[in-house]
Amino acid sequence: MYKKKFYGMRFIVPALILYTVLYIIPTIAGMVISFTDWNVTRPGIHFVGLQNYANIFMSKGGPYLASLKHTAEFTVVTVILKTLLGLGLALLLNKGLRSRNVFRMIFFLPYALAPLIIGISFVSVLKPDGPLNTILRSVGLEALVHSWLAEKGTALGSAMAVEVWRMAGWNMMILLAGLQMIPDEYYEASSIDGAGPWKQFWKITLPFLRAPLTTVIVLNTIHGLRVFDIIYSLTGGGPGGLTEVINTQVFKEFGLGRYGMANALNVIIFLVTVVIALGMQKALRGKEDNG
Amino acid sequence: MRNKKAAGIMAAAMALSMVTVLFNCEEVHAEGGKTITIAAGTGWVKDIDKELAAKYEEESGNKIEWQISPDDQYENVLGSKLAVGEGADIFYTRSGTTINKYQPEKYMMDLSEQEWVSRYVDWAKEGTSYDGKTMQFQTWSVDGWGILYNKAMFEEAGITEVPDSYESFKAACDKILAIGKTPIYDPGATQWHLGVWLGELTTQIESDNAGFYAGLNDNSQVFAGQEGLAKALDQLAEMEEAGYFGDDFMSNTWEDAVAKMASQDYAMCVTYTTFPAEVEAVNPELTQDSWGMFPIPLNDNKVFGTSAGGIGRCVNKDTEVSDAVYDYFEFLSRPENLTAYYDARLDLGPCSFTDIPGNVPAVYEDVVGNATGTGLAAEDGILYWDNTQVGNLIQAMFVGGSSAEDVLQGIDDIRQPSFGE
Repeated sequence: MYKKKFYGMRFIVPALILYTVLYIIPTIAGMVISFTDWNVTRPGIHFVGLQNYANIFMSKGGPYLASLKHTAEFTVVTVILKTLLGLGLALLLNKGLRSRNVFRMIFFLPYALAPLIIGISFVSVLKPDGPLNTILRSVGLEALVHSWLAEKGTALGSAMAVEVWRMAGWNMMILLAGLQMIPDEYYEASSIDGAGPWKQFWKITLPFLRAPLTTVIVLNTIHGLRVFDIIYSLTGGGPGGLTEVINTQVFKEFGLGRYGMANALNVIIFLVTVVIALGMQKALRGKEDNG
Repeated sequence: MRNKKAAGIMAAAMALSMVTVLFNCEEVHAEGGKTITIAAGTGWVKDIDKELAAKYEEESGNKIEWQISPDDQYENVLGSKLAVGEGADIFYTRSGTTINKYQPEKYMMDLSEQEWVSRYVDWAKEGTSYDGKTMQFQTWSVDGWGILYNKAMFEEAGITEVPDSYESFKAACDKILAIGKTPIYDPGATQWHLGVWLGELTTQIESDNAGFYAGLNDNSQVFAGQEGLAKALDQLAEMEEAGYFGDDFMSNTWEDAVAKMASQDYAMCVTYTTFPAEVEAVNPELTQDSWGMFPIPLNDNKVFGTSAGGIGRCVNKDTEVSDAVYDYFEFLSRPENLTAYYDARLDLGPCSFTDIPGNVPAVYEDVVGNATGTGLAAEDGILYWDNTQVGNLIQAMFVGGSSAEDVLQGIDDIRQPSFGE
């Protein structure tokens, strides 16, 4: 039966070729290069085995482990905040509010903007004499005024906040779609049985949202691990490497012409992303199937 | 069966169109001429470059095709393109030791036999040379970074002598603070600018210990343990703690430097010698005579570090249009075109050719007069020195709690992989 379908293997082949040429071959090439000392400043490319990986993990106090740590912090914090904020907005704008469509659009709008543009805009917003500090001063919160992107205690946190602001609307939209799939009858029946909003949330809403929540958590994790543009445009990895993440480090290594090391860092983030994404998906899907 | 055939035809058509898109990279040349591709960073190509290129196109029938990348990405793009054999016919790089970063033997054409080489001034010839061969066509200028100061503000603060030691520099800063102004505008958020501070001070070490640069460049010398540089970094941190850079200096950017100096809220800034012309354009009250300059006096430095001539154009060894490229350089090196170029480029100083003088800013003569000597600054004298990376390490000293010795060790760590095993 399937063999008589109009579309078949030969339609897959062009896409497969494209995917192989543009994704699989570069990925494998990157992995191969990561085992070399390819450096644009030196002639010749030599196989160095795991030397680049050893340099990354053995360089205590060096930039590589710090960037791995910052990437992990950025990912964990932003995944939690983006998901919670997205869920909160979705619940708020699901029903009842008359102007909810306008609000939905407003909250989704940041996602439609290029991260680089957002980054450049927020550099102005977060400047010592920028709008955020001006507002804080005007309402008497002088103590909260900071050089947000230039201080040790606030630089990475500010970048996380901008990322959360940018992506919360996107999370909201996916979770909103999930919320609208829940039949009203469940809520009506549970109300008759005396369940309050809190119980309804735990017993009806959350179980129904497992699939979209899985999607947003996995995708947010992947976005977090691969973060580059927001950090690059906000701080460039500075000050003093305090916001350096793996991909800004990769960019720097490329800038220094060290393709071997740049690819080694890239492979690490690729493998970590794949393992975490597959692991999370399996765990969350497993719960969904059992639940 | 018919569906199977149709599917086969459509699949073949899709594959064919895909291959056509992927591999149809044939270059379209100007009618009767050749196309010269030029790769450069955004900030290196000005209106006058485009105007002269247009004039050349009209005269020769050849076509100039610019491949412009953002400044902070240009080196990445250039390195990658050269590595995969897709470099432009002409590519811009810094002069001096930076030439070595791009494997000149492999990627650069020897231009020594070109007629214009005989008209180079000494610094231009030296700065564009590698292994005795001329590797660049350069129309830039030698310049350096020193402490630019507002003469009127110094007078108002009662500073009668130009600082020539760290102690006198601190005393001057205190006097500026006393009149309610900020002593120094420093763009702490701009990493490369922090690197400039230290890059100027390596000149002093080389001046005191000839062969320091040579040792660094053949990897027999390291930065770690250089007491003079560590002392200078400690003094830099001390200045920050004393408030000489003002509040929130780590948020200051280089892009604001002209406006800040034009505002007269700041007395000093580490700049190049043609900077006053840019300030004058914003605030005509501040003419070029309003400014003086002295070498950065940390570690009691009195030496003025200069560039090797700025930015030059290299010719790709694999170019297929070398004749057209030589013709283009010959055109640009004509005295009338050099005059047009330097007249338009008031940010540049002396001309790289003997034909015309170019622009010699008053503060250039001032800083040279206040110095005991000149020499190449780190960026053009030390192989694999990167102001941005060095600035990142200095930022870490200000905000991350690392020490001056950590900065010097960090510079060694950054440079070492480029030398190989």
